[in-house]
Amino acid sequence: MSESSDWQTWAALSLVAITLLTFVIRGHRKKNSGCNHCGPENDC
Amino acid sequence: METSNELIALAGNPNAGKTTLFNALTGSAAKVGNYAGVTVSVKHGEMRNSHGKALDLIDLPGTYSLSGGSPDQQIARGVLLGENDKIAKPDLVVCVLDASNLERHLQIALEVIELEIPVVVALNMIDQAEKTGLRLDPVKLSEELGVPVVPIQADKGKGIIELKQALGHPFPPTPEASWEKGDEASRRAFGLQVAELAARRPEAHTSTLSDKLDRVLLHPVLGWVCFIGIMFALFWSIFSFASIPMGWIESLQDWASGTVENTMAEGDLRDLLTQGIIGGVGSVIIFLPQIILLFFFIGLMESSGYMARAAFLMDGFMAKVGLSGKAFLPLLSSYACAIPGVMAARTIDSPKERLVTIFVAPWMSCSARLPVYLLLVPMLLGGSEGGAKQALIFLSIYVLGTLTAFVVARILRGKLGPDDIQSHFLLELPPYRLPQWKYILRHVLDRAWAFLRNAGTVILGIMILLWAATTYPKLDSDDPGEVLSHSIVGRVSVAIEPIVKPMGFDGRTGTAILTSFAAREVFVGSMAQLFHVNEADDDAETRNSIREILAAQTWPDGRKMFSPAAVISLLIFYIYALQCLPTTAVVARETGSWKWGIGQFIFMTVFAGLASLLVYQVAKLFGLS
Repeated sequence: MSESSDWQTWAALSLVAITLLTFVIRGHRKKNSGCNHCGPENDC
Repeated sequence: METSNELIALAGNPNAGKTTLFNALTGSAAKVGNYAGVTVSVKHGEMRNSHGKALDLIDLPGTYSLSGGSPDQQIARGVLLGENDKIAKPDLVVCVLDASNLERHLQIALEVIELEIPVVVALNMIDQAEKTGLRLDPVKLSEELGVPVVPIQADKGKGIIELKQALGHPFPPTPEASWEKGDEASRRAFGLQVAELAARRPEAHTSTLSDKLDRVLLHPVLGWVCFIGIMFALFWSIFSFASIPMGWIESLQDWASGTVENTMAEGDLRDLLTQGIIGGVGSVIIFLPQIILLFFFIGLMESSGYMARAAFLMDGFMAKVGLSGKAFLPLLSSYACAIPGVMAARTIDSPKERLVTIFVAPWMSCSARLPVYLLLVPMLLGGSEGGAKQALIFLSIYVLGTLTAFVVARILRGKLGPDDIQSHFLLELPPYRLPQWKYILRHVLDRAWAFLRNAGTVILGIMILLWAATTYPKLDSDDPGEVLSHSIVGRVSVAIEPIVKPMGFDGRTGTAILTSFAAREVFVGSMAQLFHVNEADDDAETRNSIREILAAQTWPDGRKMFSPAAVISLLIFYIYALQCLPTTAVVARETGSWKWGIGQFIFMTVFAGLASLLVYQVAKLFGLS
């Protein structure tokens, strides 16, 4: 494995980990926030 | 809302223009429409009176009387009577009345006056009233009611300054009813007498433009021809007008992909950026022009008054499936998004009818399904976009979802039995109005932003995770097919292929369906990723569109993978499946039970799977595979 692809693998894996973490935090916060699914005009 | 400001409530009949006035007073952009029942919950805002004093303003759902039984009317009544746990009793009520229907709209104002709260009457749509030849006398009306009356034209911002002056301190004194309080007959007689004095009608009824248009648009035969024609034109426009901006987005996507490939060395991050992020998210964003056009046309129909005519046309049909015409407006709203549709069912008095409406609402094809349809429909017709045939298929898709909803509603209505509360459908046919361009534009921009935000958050996240699942665990091989088979997705595909194959799909399409349970649009991005990774580089260069890539896929025995039978089967699945977690959550809240939310999700998913299976097997018999 070249040096370039090595750092790229770590960078890609970090992005994947951050995404997973964001989904977990977002899911947790969503419980107490508004829906805002299809625009701000619906108070759902 | 916990502030020390005094609270003002906007009350009145449905479609009196309360939300338009709310927007004009607060600078908000709450949804408005030229039909009854747009507002089903309380909206909050802040305004300043002519002295600069801050006041809290709430916009209540429209109600014909304070004894209404539907949930939205109960909300309005609860607030006005000071019985709402979350909202204090208002310090002043602005009764918004439609000047052209003064006799009927006055009744709610008289009921509010009986509550012994300071009242200001905003006499709205005076321009419409005067066009019909009505001569209004606001001073006389004020004298008779004992409250300030301000003529306004909320959509044009006329009379707003005068209204703010009327809300200056001190508030007007609490009015006293000059009829027998609590006696409906006495109140009604007083209202008619006041209307007679304050609004002089022309001697002979002159036929307005709305009357002339309604003779055609509400005609038992011509009305339906026009309705189908309008829908057909809508879908044709969505295909035709969007092709140019779609080309721009596609070019931008190619440029971004090319730039990354030229500047970065080969590696995982480069693949993630080009295939996962640019390829996956880009394949969804490309449908933004169509989303914008769809919401523009919906806004046009809502704002002009045609939506109420569509509900009127459908009333007889609705009765045959055991629902009243009142259920049709929530169903119509669901074509944009099921959530406001489910919420709009609050206008239905009968609890059982409301439940049935909520249950079938997600079968109205919402805008999130649009990218999936736009990907698949041209594949049935050889790949090219635009044209009457595609518009016709689109119309059929929407009709199929609607008809299925009606059939299931009929069955469910029969199972639930008769209702104690009968739902009476009183539909106000508002005069046709020139569309409120400012609000349509604002509404379209809000929806476009919601679509982009969804693409930049949920879809982006899923695309990144899907890329990881198609890449890891890694296999040191130059064959993309082998690499995919070794990955998590490859293993999932193998596991689910026996389940989805009878429906005409391979494991990768099955995986793309699984990913779209978070949001339907994800399907397009997932297909772009899952099928692109299996392409040899040379082929990928020549077949740069996702549709071309899919059209070139074959089964191991050489048969076309995306045959007409498979594409129809996929379309059927997406017409019927409920792949929207926020809808399930809102259904649970509106019905007061997760049993209904989860039951609806399971029922619609199983129904979609079985319908897809049946259609594929029948289509195979007819040689379409």
